[in-house]
This record gives sequence, C-alpha cells and structure tokens, in this order.
Amino acid sequence: MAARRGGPTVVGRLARLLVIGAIALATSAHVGTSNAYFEGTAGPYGIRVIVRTPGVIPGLAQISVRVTSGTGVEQVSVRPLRADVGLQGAPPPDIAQPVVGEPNLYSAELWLMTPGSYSVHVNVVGDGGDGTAFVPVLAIAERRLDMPLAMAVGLGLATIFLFVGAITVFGAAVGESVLEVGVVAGAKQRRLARVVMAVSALGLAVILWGGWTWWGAVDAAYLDRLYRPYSAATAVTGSGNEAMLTLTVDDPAWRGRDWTPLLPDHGKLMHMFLVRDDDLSAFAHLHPSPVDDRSFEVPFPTLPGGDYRVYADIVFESGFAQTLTGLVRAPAATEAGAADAGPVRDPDDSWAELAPVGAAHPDAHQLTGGRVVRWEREGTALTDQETTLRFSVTEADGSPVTLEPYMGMLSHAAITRDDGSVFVHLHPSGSINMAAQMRFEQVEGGAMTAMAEVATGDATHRVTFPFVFPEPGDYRMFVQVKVAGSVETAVFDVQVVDP
Amino acid sequence: MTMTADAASAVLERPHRVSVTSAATPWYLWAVAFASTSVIVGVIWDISWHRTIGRDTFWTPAHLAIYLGGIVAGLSCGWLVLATTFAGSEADKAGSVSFWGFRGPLGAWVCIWGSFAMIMSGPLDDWWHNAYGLDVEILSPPHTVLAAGILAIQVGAMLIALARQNNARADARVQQFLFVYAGGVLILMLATLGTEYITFANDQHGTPFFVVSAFVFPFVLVGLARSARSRWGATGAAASYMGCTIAMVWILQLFPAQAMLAPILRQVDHMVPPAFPLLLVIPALVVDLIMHRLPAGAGRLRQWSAALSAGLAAMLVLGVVQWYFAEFLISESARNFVFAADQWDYNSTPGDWQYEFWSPPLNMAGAGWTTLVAATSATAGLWWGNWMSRVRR
Repeated sequence: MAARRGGPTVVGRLARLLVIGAIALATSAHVGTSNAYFEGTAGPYGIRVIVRTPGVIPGLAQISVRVTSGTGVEQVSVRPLRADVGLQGAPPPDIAQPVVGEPNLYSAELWLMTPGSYSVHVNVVGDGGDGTAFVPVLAIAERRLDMPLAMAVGLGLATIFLFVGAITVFGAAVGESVLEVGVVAGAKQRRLARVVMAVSALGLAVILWGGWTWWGAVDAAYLDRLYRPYSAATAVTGSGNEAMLTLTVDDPAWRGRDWTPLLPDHGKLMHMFLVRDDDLSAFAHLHPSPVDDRSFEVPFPTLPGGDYRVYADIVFESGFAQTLTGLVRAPAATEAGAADAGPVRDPDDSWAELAPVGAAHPDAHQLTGGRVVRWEREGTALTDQETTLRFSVTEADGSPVTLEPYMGMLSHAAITRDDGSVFVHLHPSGSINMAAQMRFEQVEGGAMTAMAEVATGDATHRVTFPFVFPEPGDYRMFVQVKVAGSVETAVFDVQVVDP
Repeated sequence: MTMTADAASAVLERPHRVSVTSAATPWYLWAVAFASTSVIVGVIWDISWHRTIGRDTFWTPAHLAIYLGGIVAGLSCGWLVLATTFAGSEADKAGSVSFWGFRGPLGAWVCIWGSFAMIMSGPLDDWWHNAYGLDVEILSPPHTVLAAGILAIQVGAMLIALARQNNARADARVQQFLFVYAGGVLILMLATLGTEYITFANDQHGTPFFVVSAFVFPFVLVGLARSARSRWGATGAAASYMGCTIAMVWILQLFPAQAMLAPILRQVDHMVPPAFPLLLVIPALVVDLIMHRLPAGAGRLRQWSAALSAGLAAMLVLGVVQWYFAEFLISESARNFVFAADQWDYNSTPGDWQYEFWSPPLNMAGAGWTTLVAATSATAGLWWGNWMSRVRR
C-alpha cells in the first residue's frame, strides 16, 4: 500500500472538483465521450458497431458497422429510433455503404434531430438470413465549435465590403439615380447624398450591432443548454467499518426517482466506480442502494483515505444513460475489525489497491495465486482509432484460467485518463448501456442480443473490449475478472498519441 | 411593317445593347426577373422540403434554384456594369450611376450587393449548423444575411424595371408589368419571412397578425401604387404574390415524397405545401383606387392624406376579409387539394390544435397598435413610392 501523502488543500480540491464538473458540463454519460461502442450479434452475424455522435443537436451521427462473423452479407442498413416513437416513427432504412479497402466494414450517417434517448437499429441481411441489433445512443449537445481564424477574418472583410457597398448604394439612390439621363449632379444633390450616406451608415451600424448581440444571445442560450448530467453531492461519513459513502442528487432538475424512474442494470440501480484521485492507486466497483428518492448509499470499501473520484452510472426508463460525477474525501482506513462487525455489503461490490499510475507493468498484471492477466497489445494506441483491447488470464504455469461471470459478464473494464477527463465503463459488448439496449429490444420486439463472448465463441480465459480512445494522453485501464470465487482487478497504463 | 422611332434607334445602336430610353426590354431585365423568381421559388420549395422530407444536402433542387437565382443576378448585373463602364456609349454612361469608379444602373448594383450577401451567408450558415445544430426556425443570423441578399436581388430587379419604365418615351407595357411583377415577388419574400406571424390561418385573428401585416403591406402597396405607371400597380403585385403562392400550393402537392428523419409523428406522402395566400388583391385594389385619384401635381399634404387613407383602408379591408377567410380555412371545407388546409409537417403531432385559433383575437389595444403601425408604414411607403417614381438610372 502506498504511503499516504499529504492531501491536496481545500482550494486544490475545489479546483479539482471544478475541473471534473466543468468537464462534465461539456461531456456526457461516460465522461469524456458519448460515442457508443457495441460488440455483439445481429441474428446469425457477429457485429461491432461504433456510433460517433455529432456533439450538436440536430446533428449527423457517423455509424460504422463491422461484420465480425457470418458470411454472405448482402446489405447492412440503419434506422434512428427515438425512444418514445420507436420503429413507428422512424424513417425508411439508410443503406450503409461498404468501406473501400476494408472487408466487412460498412458506414452510414444518420441525423439525430432532437435531444434524448435514441437507438440505432442495425439490420444485416445475407445468406444466413436477417439479423437486427439495437445500439442505444445519447443525442445530446455537448460542445460548441470555435470559428476558425481564417473564416472569421474572411467574414469580417466581407462585412466591411457589404457595409461600404450598401452605403454607396444609398448615396447613389438619392444622388445620381433620380437624375434625368445625361444630367450631372448639382451641389445640393451631392450634399443630400452625403447626408443620406451618413445616416444610413449609422443605421447599418446599429443593425450590425443588433446582429452581433443576437449571435451572442444564441451562443449563450446554446452553452446554457449544453448537456450536463445531474449534479450530485458525495460524502463519506463515519470511519472504519462504519464508513458510508452517500450520493445525493442535488440538481433541481431531478424530481425524484418516481418522476424519472431508473432501470436496473443487472439488478442494480446504480453502478458506482471510485478511482483514487492523485495517483489512481485504488479502484472500487460498488452498487449503492437507494435511501430515498434522491440519495444512494454504500459502505465505503477498506481502501486508504484520501480523495476519490466518483463516477456513478444510472439509466432512465427511456434508455437515457448518465454518469454522475463527484469527488469525495475518505477518512484514513483503520484496521479492519472482526469479520462479523463489518457492514452489510452487496456481494458484487469489489475493490483493489494497486500500483500508482505509471508504476504498473505495461502488459502483465499479477493476481493472487500466481495468476497473470496479460494485455495482448496491438501496437501503439492512437487517438480516435477503432481498437480491440484483448486480455487473457492464465495460471502461473501458463494454462488458461476459467473465468467466472461477474454480474453476467466475463469481465468489466474501466478506462480513465489520468486527469479524470475521460472515464468509460466497458463490457465485452462495448460501452453501450445493456439495460438501455434490452429496453429497446423489449419495446420494439427484437430478439435479445447475445453477449459477445457467446457469439464469438472465444475461449473463456480471454476477453476483448471494443474501444476508441477519444483524446491523446496517459490512460489507466482497470480490468476486473472473477476467478476462484473472487473478483480481482488488474491495471495497465497506456499512452495514447495522435496518429 | 413600320418601325417606331424607338425601335429604329434600338436597332441602330449596338445590337446587343438597348438604349436606356427605349421601350424595348433588354435581356438583363428578363434575367433578373428570372433570378428573382428562381430565388423565391427555391426558398418556398426548401421550406416545403424541410417540412416533408426533413433531410437535405447542399445540392437539393430547392437549394439549386436559390443558388441559380443568386448567380444569374450577380453575373448578369456584373456583366452589365463592366460593359457599361468599359464599353458603354456616352448615352449608356449618362443613364447609369457611378459606384467606386464603375458605372451601371442602380438596380444592377443592388443585385450585385445581394448576390455577394447570399454568397457570404453560405459558409457562415454551414459553420452555424456545425456549431449550434440545424435550424429549427427560419430566421437565424446567417439566414438573415441570406434574406437580406435575396431581398436586395428582388429590389434590384424592381429598380432595373423601374428605371426603364420611368425613362421610356413610349408606354413601356412590358417594363411596367415586370416592375409590378417584381414587386409581387418582393411581397412574396416578405410574407415568407413573416411566416411565423401571418401565414397560418390559425394566427389570423390575433394581434401579431394585424401588427405585422400593418408593418409590411401598407408600405409595399402604397409604394407600388405611387410609382407604377400602370393603374393597377398594387393590385398587380398582390395578384403576382397570390398567383405564385397558389401555383406552389398546387404544384408541390403533386410530387410524392416521404419523411427521411426521425421522429416521424405524422405520415406524409407528398410535399407539404405552403399555406394558402392572404387575399391581398382586395386591399391592394382599395389602395390603387385611392392613390390613383391623386392628381399629378398634388401637394405633399394631399399626398400624405391619400397615403394614410389608403394604408388604413387597406388594413381594415384586409382585416375583415381575412378574418372570415381564416374561419373558412380552418373549417372542414378547406381541407382539400385547392386550399390545402390539412397539410402539416411530418414532425408535428396530430391534434385538435391544428384547427383552432392559436392566439387570442384582436383587442382594442391591438387595433390601436395596428392603426399606428399602418399609418407609419403608409407614410414610409409614400416616401419610397415618390423616390421610386423619380428613379431614372
């Protein structure tokens, strides 16, 4: 266990909270990216779907579908479904175009017209028959584009040109244009023209100022409407075995769970992740239970004291998923008491203390009993590139380990950037929220999408996660697997660079 | 076959240019009249496209009609000013205005300005959509720049026709018609910009309809009545506005289409047409009758009182006529091909609201504002019309 360093000051802590909050202001569920990755099946075909959301609404989402198994694919098509109207209110399918040079990769674009919970309905037709899958997507306004300097300069020059041109026109209108053909303008005429030009210059200046103010108002309204998850207050009360972490949604827009019912995901209303703030040396995967209509609590795990970043995933009935964020200070852990004095914990709660960020082995992590988790790297990690993260778990002698399901999955992963600006909770089926996906399947009457590991038929000591690193920087990946009845967490550090 | 003096002089001068005083119609006047029409047809078509199909690209036919109008206006007027400046005869130059060292008719400069404004709005609009999302309203700042450009092209077309109408020694019927027609296209553009307030029958009992109409129509109708050589300047323009709109209402419905964007709240199977036009010919007729009773040398006060009577009478007549017509449009009898009162966007929820009035009816305060605005508008229209009747170049 790393020695506890002096914690950050109140100001530092506040600054950190503001950073996380500010980033949460500009980003979305799964902090740092609202792109959706899904790996699973569409009928008899294995598919991997990546939806890159546009960041503005209405905006164009980029969809890529890779058929990973199954042959004789004739056509891949996509349709956007808004949660409340579903297939009924969806336009005819868009045929995805095969990508030149890449076998089995198809791409399409779909407009997301209103903010809210959507799903992309993917249909694959071929020799093996028909297959569909639903990929939940959040349509949210997340960012505001900056205007490139060249365009700003060009527009400025064009405005000046039009301004001067308009004034000249007004001058000519009262000056020369009312003169009979062949007559030359007299002094009085010219003076009148100049007066009119001066007045119109003033008038146009007022109009330009009005237009500038209007633009500012639209911009301010847009920034105000940018998606942000509900704000939540987190705190740890008590100490030792009594330590409880409470999360309270204090956002006035949250009207209590009865108003916005939550969908349980693998039987849990909330999946909460803790990452130690300064050196990412502790990780927890917890399942708080509701106390009232806006608070959740969970016993704090036996981890060192200090500041922890909190990421809490919830899903609403519409399929809209959110990650609530916060920063919480935990007291120094006292020695664990007798086993029967401990709090009642959810049996699926898991946590681990790990090497500080940067000090982990790059591609092998030792578990208990000599087992090893290996990361089968595919070269340098690049920003915005579709990648498959492959991990295998073996005994000390190299023989494969049989992984046990942990909440229905062979593995859970959490990927975070060292500054906390990106946090994604991944399953082998991708980053999409599975409860949201099941909700769409149930409502639209589609077949249940099978888990990737069953579809791909991989040996059960290996797990893969589809992912795209959204930003360059230093990342830490936490990979959780269940072996011999207990959940263990492996860490891998990776540096992501721009291609 | 005899030739009039004008026709002879037109032939004797350079064959590709028509004398400024000739009653013959130069090609560039047809070009800007076409451009002006193409632009507004494109705008109305594009609105229908967004209400029906939803999804569009840079190259849809509706957008192409808009770009074509801008390009034709810009290029033809650009050619005209270059030809006048560098190859024009003394007579040509004497019949043009000076602009930054170049020479050309005023209307040509206005069209060129409009063409530039339209072009400038393109990249700004593209960035705007990427930054703030696609527009859900007609008027955004970039669309306002585009609207200014379109209005300029329409006014430019009017001015080119106007100068020829005013200069022609003989009675230039074609030029008069083109001036009045161009005025009608301007009315159509203004009515389209005011869609949110005046287009739908469901709005036509409310104060905003009256106030916005009082702002726009007396100005245009009085101005046209005052400056058109024809006796029926305002009526002709109103008839052009109504005729173009009705043509689009009927033609658009003939084209099958389906919505291509979610959420689809209503199934549409053909292009959603614009609303039936206002019965503007009736108030326009009243304006023409009043304004043309003015003797030729009437003093300012006499002119002003005529303009005020015309403007106020027009609003009163429009208010009454449209009040009852709006009730008809909301009723079941108008839900057919001719009046298209049952045609709504793919993303508007079906409901009772479609056939109800959406705003409280005009009250005394609203009537007061309407009167005030109409009087101001008519006064401005008179001033504008007087200026237009003097335009020679």
